[in-house]
Amino acid sequence: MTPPIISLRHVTKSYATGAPGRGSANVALDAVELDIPRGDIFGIIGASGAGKSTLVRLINLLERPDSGAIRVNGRDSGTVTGGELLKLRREIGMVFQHFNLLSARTVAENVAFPLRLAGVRDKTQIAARVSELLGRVGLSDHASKYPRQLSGGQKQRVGIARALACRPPILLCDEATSALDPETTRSVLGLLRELNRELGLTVVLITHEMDVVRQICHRVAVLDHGRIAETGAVEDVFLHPRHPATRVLVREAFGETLVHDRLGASGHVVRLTFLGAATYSPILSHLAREQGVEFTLLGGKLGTIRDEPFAQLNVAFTGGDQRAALARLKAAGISVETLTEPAGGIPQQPLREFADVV
Amino acid sequence: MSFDRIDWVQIGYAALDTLAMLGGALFFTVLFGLPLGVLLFLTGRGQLLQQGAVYAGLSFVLNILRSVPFIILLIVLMPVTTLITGTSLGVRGVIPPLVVGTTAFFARLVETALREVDRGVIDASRAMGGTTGQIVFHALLPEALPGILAGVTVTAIVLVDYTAMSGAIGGGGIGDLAIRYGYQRFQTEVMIVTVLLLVILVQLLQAGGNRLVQHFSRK
Repeated sequence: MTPPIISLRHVTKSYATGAPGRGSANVALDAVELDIPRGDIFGIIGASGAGKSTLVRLINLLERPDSGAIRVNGRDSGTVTGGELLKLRREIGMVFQHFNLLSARTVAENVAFPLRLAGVRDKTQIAARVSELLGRVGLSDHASKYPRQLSGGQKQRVGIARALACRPPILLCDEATSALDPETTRSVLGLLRELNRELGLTVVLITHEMDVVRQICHRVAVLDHGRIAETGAVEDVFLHPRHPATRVLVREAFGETLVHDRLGASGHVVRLTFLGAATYSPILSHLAREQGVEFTLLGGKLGTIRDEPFAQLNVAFTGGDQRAALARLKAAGISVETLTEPAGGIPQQPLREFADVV
Repeated sequence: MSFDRIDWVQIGYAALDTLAMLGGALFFTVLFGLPLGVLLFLTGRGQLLQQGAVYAGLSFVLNILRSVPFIILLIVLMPVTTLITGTSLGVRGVIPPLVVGTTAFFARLVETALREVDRGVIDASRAMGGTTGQIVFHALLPEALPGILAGVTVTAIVLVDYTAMSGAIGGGGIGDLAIRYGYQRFQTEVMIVTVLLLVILVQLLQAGGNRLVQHFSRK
């Protein structure tokens, strides 16, 4: 495996609060360990106050940690200074929630801005790069407009084009879609995914919305009170959240699932998680027919993770050969978690039939 | 009261003197005030070159300059003016005190205009690997240009006011005429004409300034 493009080792950062010299220190990040694989779309999610902003300012090298090490693209950020630091910052393209475009400059000039900061003087070279970038984000017709003449989604596309100008291997998006409506969010996320696929760009998405992570991220780290609460593949974290903070974020994205015990459901209540092709298999009706297991749907969620379909259903089983049914579900690659066991254990084949066989 | 007695040629020369004082003083005010304002902004709390001591010192000096009434400043600065321009009279003799009187004021206006610039723009420029100099010249000043131009306009109008006052100590210009003829010789018609001229000048400055601000506003 190639080494991660960004790694944080035991990173701690705190800010002084209250009057200088007197107030106590407020720990924003506490011993954070994080590895972001090259070429991933990596989500970092957390509620407000979880330490996201601090993490952004550390990753994009605007601030230094109190302790710990941050490596970006093979360089230890703690050892670079001066011009080298400025160069390393250019290896991370930044996309901001509020776009942060220069209002006094046209779209083309905004995209050219990082090139000028990097010392590119050749006007034809800049013009060529700018028109290439505007083409990529679909804004070729808007080159000579000013930012105030654009919609939010268009402004963010300018922001993305600008971030890519110096061909950084990393794109760091700080709540890049939080100021956009759902439709525009989808189109901007689509663009990010395209850039990831076609340019091999590593995209780091900082967000408070699980829905954004669900739509495009490969992996996700959940930040809670300055610590990494859990990290893993989006499918695992989204469908089987372990940390309470993650559960809250998932619930916000999908709404409350029905709570089985309040429905007075009897019998054997399980949570079934279908992912990918399994989502489309009519396995529950097979179980009903062949194992004689009746099922009641108590609640659940259906949707996609990236483009992969999933279903997570809370089901109450009654009657029939439930052991066989469960085995069959597991064999089909469906994850089964028991929420409530029926009194007296999980029923097997009815005794009468069993007697017949004997 | 009769307007026949008015010496229009004299008024014409006085008007030119006023414009010369205004132009010269405004030029030097911007020349000194703009960098001071930028420095004030950059050394301020939470800014790129945060330097508490420098900011406090600069702020203190600027406040002192602004708290001295202009008419006192004119008199106090006479030796300095003579040293710089060789005279403390006429157009050349009032430009130094005018510049001293408005530079501090203008520097504050520049600081305020820069503070109005979206912080995110500075963050973005830093994240793109911009140096402080690049950020000032390529991001901060262009973004703050409308605000700075509005500051120049206000400063120009304050200067018109001050040139009239400097007439009192032999500075010349329209204000000088107003005091010597209109007030001391009871030629009310001169007073009326000069005041009218000043009113027109201020109106023109404000309208011109507004148009410039409008032209450069992209927000």
